[in-house]
Amino acid sequence: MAPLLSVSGLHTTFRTDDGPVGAVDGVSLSVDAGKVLGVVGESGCGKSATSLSIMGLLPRTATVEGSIRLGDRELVGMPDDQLRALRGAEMAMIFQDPMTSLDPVIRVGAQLEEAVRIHRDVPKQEAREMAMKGLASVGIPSPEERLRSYPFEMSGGMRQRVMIAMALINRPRLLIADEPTTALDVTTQAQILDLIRDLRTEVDAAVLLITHDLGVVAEMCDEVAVMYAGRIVERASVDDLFARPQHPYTWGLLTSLPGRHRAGERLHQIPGTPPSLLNPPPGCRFAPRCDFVMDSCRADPAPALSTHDGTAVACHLDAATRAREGARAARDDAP
Amino acid sequence: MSELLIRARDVRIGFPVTRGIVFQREVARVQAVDGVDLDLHEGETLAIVGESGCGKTTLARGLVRLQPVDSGTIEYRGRDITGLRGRDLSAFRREVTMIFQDPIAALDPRMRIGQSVQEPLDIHDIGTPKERRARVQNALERVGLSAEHYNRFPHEFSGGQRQRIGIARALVMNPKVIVCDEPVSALDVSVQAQILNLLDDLQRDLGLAYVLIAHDLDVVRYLSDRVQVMYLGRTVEAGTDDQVYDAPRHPYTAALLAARPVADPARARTRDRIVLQGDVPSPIDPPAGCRFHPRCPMAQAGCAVTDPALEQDPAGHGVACLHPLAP
Amino acid sequence: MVRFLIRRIIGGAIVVLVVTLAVFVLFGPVLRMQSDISPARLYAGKNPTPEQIQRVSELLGLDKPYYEQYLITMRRLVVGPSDEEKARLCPGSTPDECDAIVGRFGSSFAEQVSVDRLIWDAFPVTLSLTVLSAIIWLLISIPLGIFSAMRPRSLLDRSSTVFVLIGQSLPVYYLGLLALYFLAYEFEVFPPSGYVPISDPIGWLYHLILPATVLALQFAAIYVRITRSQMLDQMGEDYVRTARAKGASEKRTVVRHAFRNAMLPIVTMFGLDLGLLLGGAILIEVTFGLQGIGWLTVQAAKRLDVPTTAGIVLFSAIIIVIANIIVDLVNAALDPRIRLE
Repeated sequence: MAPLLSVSGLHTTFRTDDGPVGAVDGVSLSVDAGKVLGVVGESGCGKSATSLSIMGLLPRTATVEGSIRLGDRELVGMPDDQLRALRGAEMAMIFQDPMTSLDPVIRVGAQLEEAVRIHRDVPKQEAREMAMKGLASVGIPSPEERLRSYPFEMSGGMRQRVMIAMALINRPRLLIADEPTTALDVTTQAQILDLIRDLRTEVDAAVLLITHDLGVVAEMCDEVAVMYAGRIVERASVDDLFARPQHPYTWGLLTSLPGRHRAGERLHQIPGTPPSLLNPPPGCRFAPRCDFVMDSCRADPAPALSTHDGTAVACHLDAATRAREGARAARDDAP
Repeated sequence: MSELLIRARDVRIGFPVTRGIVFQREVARVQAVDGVDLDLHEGETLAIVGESGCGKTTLARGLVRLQPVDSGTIEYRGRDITGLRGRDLSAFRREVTMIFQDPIAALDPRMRIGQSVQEPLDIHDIGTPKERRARVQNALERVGLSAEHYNRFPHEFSGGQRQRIGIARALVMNPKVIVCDEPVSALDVSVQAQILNLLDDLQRDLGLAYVLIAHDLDVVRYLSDRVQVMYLGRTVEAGTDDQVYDAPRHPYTAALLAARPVADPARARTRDRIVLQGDVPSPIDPPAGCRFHPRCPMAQAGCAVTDPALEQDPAGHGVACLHPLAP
Repeated sequence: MVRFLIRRIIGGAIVVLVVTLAVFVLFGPVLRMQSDISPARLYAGKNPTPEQIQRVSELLGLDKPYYEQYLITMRRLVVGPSDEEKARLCPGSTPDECDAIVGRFGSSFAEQVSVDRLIWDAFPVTLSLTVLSAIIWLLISIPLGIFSAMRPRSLLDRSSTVFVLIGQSLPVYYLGLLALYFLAYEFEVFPPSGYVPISDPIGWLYHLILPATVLALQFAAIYVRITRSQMLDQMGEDYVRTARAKGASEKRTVVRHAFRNAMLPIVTMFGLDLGLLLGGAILIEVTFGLQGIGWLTVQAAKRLDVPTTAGIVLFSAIIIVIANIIVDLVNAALDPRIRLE
């Protein structure tokens, strides 16, 4: 069966005053219905630009090349009105900051009803009914009263529930969650992650989860793509990624997590900062920060993603070194 | 035992809730910090942990006198600092400094880095201009920046470097204590590790004591010696790292620990999860009895009535709960 | 909501009270310190004898202590002139005649007429000019601002920037004189001056359209700029992205979401500008010979007509306070965060 979402060779470029910035540089990934793909990386790695490219929500200064297929439809180059008919119906998105993602002057109920009535010609009463069921399904107490609330009358966790209800109200086949819990407190984060997990099985949607938090990845995802400076450097099942990480950047991410260290023991740190995408280094973009860098890494062409045992990795290192160092990073990571 | 630097007792800090445009009157008071004790010894790290609205940042600001304290005492080396003024306050501020969560907001965008770092020396009128410059360069080098950064502006630096500048600014006074308010929560993981290592090195080399305000329990454990968990303005549990992390006795601490995502898929699937219901109540009108009881999975009848005090066991592990978890 | 309104009204009343006090001090005690323009002397006519001035002082009550004068002034302002005052100030007139001479705001020194009457005659002119002008400037600036914000750096956006620059840098009287010269004298499309009451709507519009447009152009420039910047801000907000992610059309996103939020500061500014203009658009009224509040202000100042000047200041203050209260109410209606505070 073909995957529900399949992105290949995606290039997203922003026009800026200083020149073109290649935020996404040849990303390929796919998600099946009922599965969660995590896209993990640090700020500026292109994970959000990837999700906005899929949704077609980029500003005018951006150009998208490559292929994005949702089911059997190609989204790149699709006319605006057709894309709009898919947004919010076939594919939906929830965002990082629930405090600012809802319209502050419109009642929550009206915002939910709007999401229904944009796509379906149903009477107001029915839309209201659906909005109420939506709120109930995300665990909001007394949903009928809550329909009349304004966003500012709700807590952050409540608002994120409203966002989720709104995204799922038309039963989309693809749900993109961009850092859905980053702005929330730990105990609220746990509630929202539970909710997304429960609803995913219920609506059987494919989920693309964008996050910087490896903990969230481990809790939520089936597959993971690790992004660095606009490219995917490693793609694996969640178990493989944590048990047998293959890319030096992934090792760095895992070993720099403070949670796995005792006081007194030094944290591993990746030296330096990610490169500017205005003028990225040739070859592997991680080379300037990599502990295992070789001469071939600094020259074009950059290592391509190649697959071994189900894990795709873009690295020139030999398999033996990767296995050895990967095991070390994974062990480091184990309690 | 090493010297007791800060000893705070029954600290209360509130904010007025006002009504009215022309004639403002106070209709209520939000007790952001409501009777908190705290001890900080020389060279140690005390972490204050909790979710937003628990009062941890207000407490931090109270400790450095950025926020007036309503009642209670904060002693620094045996002397109450809550009423300090003028020269005494200035002397106190040389020894106890602060770094902030958002290094971008904490730096003046039109000031050169060197000037920003030097500013505290200028304010306190320490040393000759030449000595000041030497101290600034020394501080910049300590945090891993070089003297050549002296003349640059904040926008030329990445987030991690800006936080280094913030640390240099706190260091330049040769303080004894640095209060760190969420020092790494705005940073990416790999950069976060750099800053945590830097803080650790500085503590070892300079014998600094830290008060670390954080919501990320993993960060806290990496740096801290002792932890204090706050909920709605109160300390609910306090103890050493091992006591609090390995054998939490307050249900809230247990829930916090359980809620944090684990970067290990196998364990994530099998572990017990306690997911708290609802949200943190408003501090304007905190629940009667134990403040945590409406969300507590183990609440019993008495919890809605009796407000538990923080009680220590012989090992110094304190918990404010009527029915604490078995150790 | 009701409490909100009551609070605003009480606040407004306090402001008006402070203004009355300021006006009283400035036009009474302060003026008196310079004896040659004391109110009594001004009232007494040219080259008065000391006895005449003394008589006028008694007539106007200027010989009483200041606090008493202020209380009398305030009483007159709130409940109208007393019979005793009427009898004193217009002896031998019928009550109707006297009403025309003695009013709440006092009597003009320059003419045998009450300040109330002067203001009420002038106000419709200013009101007409302001309302017509406001309609024109909103019709120009709101769409222009929205479209420029939707397509930044486009031809339309650049043209509107030029328009803003011209509108803001050309003084209104200069633009007014240009318009008069070309459209009224050279080509005689519009009448050069005058005001026709709205009971003749076509004449009203015909006489007002030119000054109203000139006034509107200047305000339109400011409103294009603020609409554009507000819209740009709002279009960058997360909730706008949410609306798009729902599949909302561009029109719906802009009108229903972004503009509704962008409107809040514009409404505030609009209310205050209206209040300000209703207190008299001096330059435009003088340029086009419209006998509104602004024109009246100039007349009163020229003739050192103290009660009229004071009356206009007070009247303008009341209008601005009312405008402020209305702005607050409209904002509360538009923004639940204010309403449910």
